[in-house]
Amino acid sequence: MMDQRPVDEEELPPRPTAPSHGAPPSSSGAKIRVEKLDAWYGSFHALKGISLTIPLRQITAMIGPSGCGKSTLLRCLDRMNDGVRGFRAEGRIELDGQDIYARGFPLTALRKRVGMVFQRPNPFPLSVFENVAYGPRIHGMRNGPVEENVERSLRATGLWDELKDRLQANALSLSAEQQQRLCISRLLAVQPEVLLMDEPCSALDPIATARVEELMQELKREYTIVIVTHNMQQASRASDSCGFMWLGELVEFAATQVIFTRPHSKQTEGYVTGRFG
Amino acid sequence: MQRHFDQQLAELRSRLVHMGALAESMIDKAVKSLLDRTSGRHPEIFRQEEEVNNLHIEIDERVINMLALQHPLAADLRLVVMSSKIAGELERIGDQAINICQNTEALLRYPPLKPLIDIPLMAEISRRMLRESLDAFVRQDTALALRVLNADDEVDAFKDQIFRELLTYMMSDPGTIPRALSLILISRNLERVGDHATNIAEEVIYSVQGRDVRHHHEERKREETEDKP
Repeated sequence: MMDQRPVDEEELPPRPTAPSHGAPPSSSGAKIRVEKLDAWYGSFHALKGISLTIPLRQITAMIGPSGCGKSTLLRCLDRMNDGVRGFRAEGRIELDGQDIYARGFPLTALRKRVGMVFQRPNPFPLSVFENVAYGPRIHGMRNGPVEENVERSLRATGLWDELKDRLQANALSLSAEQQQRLCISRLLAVQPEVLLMDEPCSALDPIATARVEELMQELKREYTIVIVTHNMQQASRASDSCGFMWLGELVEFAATQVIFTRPHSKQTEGYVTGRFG
Repeated sequence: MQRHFDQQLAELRSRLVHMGALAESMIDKAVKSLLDRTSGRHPEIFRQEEEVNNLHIEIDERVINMLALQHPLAADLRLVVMSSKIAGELERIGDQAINICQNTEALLRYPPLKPLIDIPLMAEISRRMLRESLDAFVRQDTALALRVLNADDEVDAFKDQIFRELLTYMMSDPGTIPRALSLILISRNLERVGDHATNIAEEVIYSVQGRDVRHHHEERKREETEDKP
């Protein structure tokens, strides 16, 4: 569960009075549409009236201080919060026009279509090969031999050339960056449509971070990516659209260059310039 | 939250204001020399130009360091980048003051061609534009910056008028050509001062509001008309 430490309100400028605006910052098609999403952990109101459109095959970053709700929002996009005790959500999240919270929406299919990369790489304690082959097997995928799928998925993250002679090595013996790229390969093997990344580089050094960011640029040709990050330089370098969240609200959502050069909201400006947060 | 970076920004602004004051003083002295027909102030102007050039380098160095080390964003980023551009404008304004001095020295070799009427008026508008563009920067006053933009047309009109008038002198008496050419060059120098002041005003508007008003005069005029009650 995400860190829900309260933010010291005295340090912050007044709360936004204008409604959160989440118009799509680009004209490309929408992959995910969030409408008036409210979410609670017990009595804690974690998300307040979030509406935004995640553009297809673009990288969308969510930024904001700890506890602002950005990880909660990310986890709502593949319903990972469903199992959290006391969690409740209202509103609508559409994936290609279908409400993923609708009764009867197949959760297994959702998890296959929308994959999550976590803060710390979490490979299975299995071989490199088995890590990547695991997903297609449990989903009973029949898109060619498993070996081909593993190679394709490892190639997509640049790991094939590094590991093709060590496919039977234990995944836990890899470097942190290789483990993270392996986790991304593991997702790609089940041919998802959306990649959710929750602080995917926070455990990586700057060189490894740069490699993962490059990989994201490659992947966005085929996948829609949503990334949550504390690292504003990463959000500015890597994303096409960016949302600033604060106290559970989406304060501003716009093209990344707008957020970091001429944001409309004073709160966004205060946050990205480091004046509060 | 007070940031260490705020202190650096304050120093950057202060150095830029000092550079602006020097450039303004150079233009004032150069215009006075022209009107008084003396070159006594010129050594001081040349000394100031050296200081302006040094400030140009110093400010760009500060900007590069801030970009590299502080990664400024949003309003901070706009201010830092525009400071570098404004420093470039001020350096060129300093160059225009030097050009006015050199053209004045050429004029001083001859008796006056005619009493100067339009050039002092034009010089006054250019100096006012420069002063107001710097005030707009200091006060972050975009309304004042807009006023500077609107004055640019007046300066351009003076330059054309001065050229037409001096052309008639040259056509009727080729002996006046050296003096008339010097005056035409001076009017061009003053027009350039107005252009640089206009650029500073545009840079102030971008720095404060994030609005790029360059090359959008029509849009700006439309906005002003719509803003009127």
